[in-house]
Amino acid sequence: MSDSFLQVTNLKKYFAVREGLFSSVKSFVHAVDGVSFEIEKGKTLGLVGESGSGKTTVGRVLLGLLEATSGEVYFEGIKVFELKRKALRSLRKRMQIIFQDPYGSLNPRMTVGGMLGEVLSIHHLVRKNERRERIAELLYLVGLQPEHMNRYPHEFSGGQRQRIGIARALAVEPELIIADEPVSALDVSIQAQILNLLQDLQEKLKLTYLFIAHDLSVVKHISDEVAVMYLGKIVERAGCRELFSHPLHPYTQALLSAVPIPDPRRRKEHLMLRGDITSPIHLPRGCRFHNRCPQVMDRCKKEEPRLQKQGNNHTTACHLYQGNQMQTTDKRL
Amino acid sequence: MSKNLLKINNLKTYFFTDAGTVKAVEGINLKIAEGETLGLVGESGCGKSVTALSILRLLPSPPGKIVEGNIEFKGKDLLTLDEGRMRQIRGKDISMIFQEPMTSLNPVFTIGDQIMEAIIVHEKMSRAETRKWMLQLLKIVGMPAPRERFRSYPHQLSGGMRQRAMIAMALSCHPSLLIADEPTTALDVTIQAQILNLLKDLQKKFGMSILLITHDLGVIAEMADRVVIMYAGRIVESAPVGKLFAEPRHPYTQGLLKCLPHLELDQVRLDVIEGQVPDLIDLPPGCSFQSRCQFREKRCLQEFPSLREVEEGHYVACYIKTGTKAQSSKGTKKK
Repeated sequence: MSDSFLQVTNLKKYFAVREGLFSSVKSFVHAVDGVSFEIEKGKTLGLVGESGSGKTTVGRVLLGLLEATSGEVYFEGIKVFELKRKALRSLRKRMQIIFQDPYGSLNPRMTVGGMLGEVLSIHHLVRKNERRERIAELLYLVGLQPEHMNRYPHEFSGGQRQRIGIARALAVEPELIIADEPVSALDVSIQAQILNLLQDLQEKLKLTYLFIAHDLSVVKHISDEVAVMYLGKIVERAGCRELFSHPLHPYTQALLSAVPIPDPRRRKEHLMLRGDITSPIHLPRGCRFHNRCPQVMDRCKKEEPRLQKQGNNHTTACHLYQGNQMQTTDKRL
Repeated sequence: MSKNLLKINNLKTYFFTDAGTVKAVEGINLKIAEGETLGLVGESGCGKSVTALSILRLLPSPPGKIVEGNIEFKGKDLLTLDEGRMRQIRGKDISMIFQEPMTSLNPVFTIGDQIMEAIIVHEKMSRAETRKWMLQLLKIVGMPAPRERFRSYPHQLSGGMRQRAMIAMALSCHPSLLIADEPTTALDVTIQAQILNLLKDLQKKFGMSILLITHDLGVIAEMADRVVIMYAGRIVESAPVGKLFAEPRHPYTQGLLKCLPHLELDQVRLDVIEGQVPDLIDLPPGCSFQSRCQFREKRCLQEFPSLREVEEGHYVACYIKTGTKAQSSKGTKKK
């Protein structure tokens, strides 16, 4: 069906909300509601959104950590959701995740060497007598020392722990890495170190990244393409430079405008959004963003906009650009 | 400049733990003028929150203790006041907004009760007046549907609304100093923009001073009049906001500004500050930044450089910048 490295089509994940005496299902949280994208090999797709937008759920579903409600994921043409256990396990080796919280995601009772060794033995990757060597190699790869092998997580700083998390993901020699807010818990000076490390590793090991984050400056720095999510849907998607220089969707525009720029000469009036993100249980009719949108029209309250191409690899789901699609394209050319 | 509202002299706050003495704040001097917003910047563990807690005398004690220095607020030394007097100041003259609104609000009382509590304690107002003022406050901080919301419990509100409730509480007794410790770090950017705007408006309306503690230089650039940079318990640089961003003098400040990914620049690679913050239990002698500093000299290893004024209002604690030759080479290169 597709020759892209990773392709996701119409992915949905609903969580049932149970209430009452018999825990009957009363309603659903529409965490991911029809998301489609693809990533080329060796590239980075940045997935941006605020809390509750469903970006983390997308990552978890892709890895099979959560079961999708519907939709398809193709990994090099293989339908991931149809795989049996054994095949799935060998596929898991090819996709790994790096978590946000380097404190919570490492086992406090295991040494670093033990943790990495466990990964290697579960997947039968190296012979026992070569294991130490491979662990040392992995630690070196992420900028740690071989003698760190015998230490426990609490002996490391936040940045070092994140490096261990990255080493753990790399141990199985994956091709796709899902990085879920990998730097948001780190101090700025450490954040830069980890971002550079991720870029170096991508080059060296030809990795493909799905980079999930809420920090737009970080996403802009690391991504080739960016998709913006709002309430379970992708509202805009484009090449990284294109998206940040010509944001089309009012939500993307507001999101970009809200980022404080570290330069006091450029204090600006922010494009202010009213209110908070809507509850993903009781979704508004029409466009999900219409109750906060500064450019809302009558049509937005009735009809849900679909993702449409607006020129060079730039798609957006907004009525402002639909109907007069040709016009916008012309202007852009 | 106008009168100093708060003046901290040589404050030292230590934590006496089993592992050793953590020198969280090691001799800092600060001034906040009336109506001014002072930004206090630093990475985790640099002592910025401990400074705030020291001002309000809210340190967990033991193990925390203010071992030296004084904190003058409106001419009175806060550290010599008895607990009763201190309680009259807390929440009235000086109030604080915390980072995590969920853990700082009491889950078993309604928002309205919690806001009214501070007013009842500090102001002579009838219950009806208090209620009226509280509703007005909720309106001022932009709480949607305040009449319904004041009966809500914290868990029924979103993160942004909880932070608004906290701000309403902090403002309820017209404080002259508001300490905001990472007030927007837990919030999404669109909500952060709303809250920062709100703080700016309220500062104009109430004429208060703000001590804004954050690690986010973007927030500082937008809000602060003057900035103080802390590193490992000490102030390494302080300057008016424009000067600090245009001509940072301390290698740490320069590093911090350079390692940020910018929304408006194309950077292939980020600059980094190598290494990590030293352990506060056994700080090496000399400058606390020397282990990560690329301009390190022999004397940096011997004694911590004291803060010197390099330009009017611009102080820096570094030998290299204040020495003549390095100053010209590095100072101009940055421009």
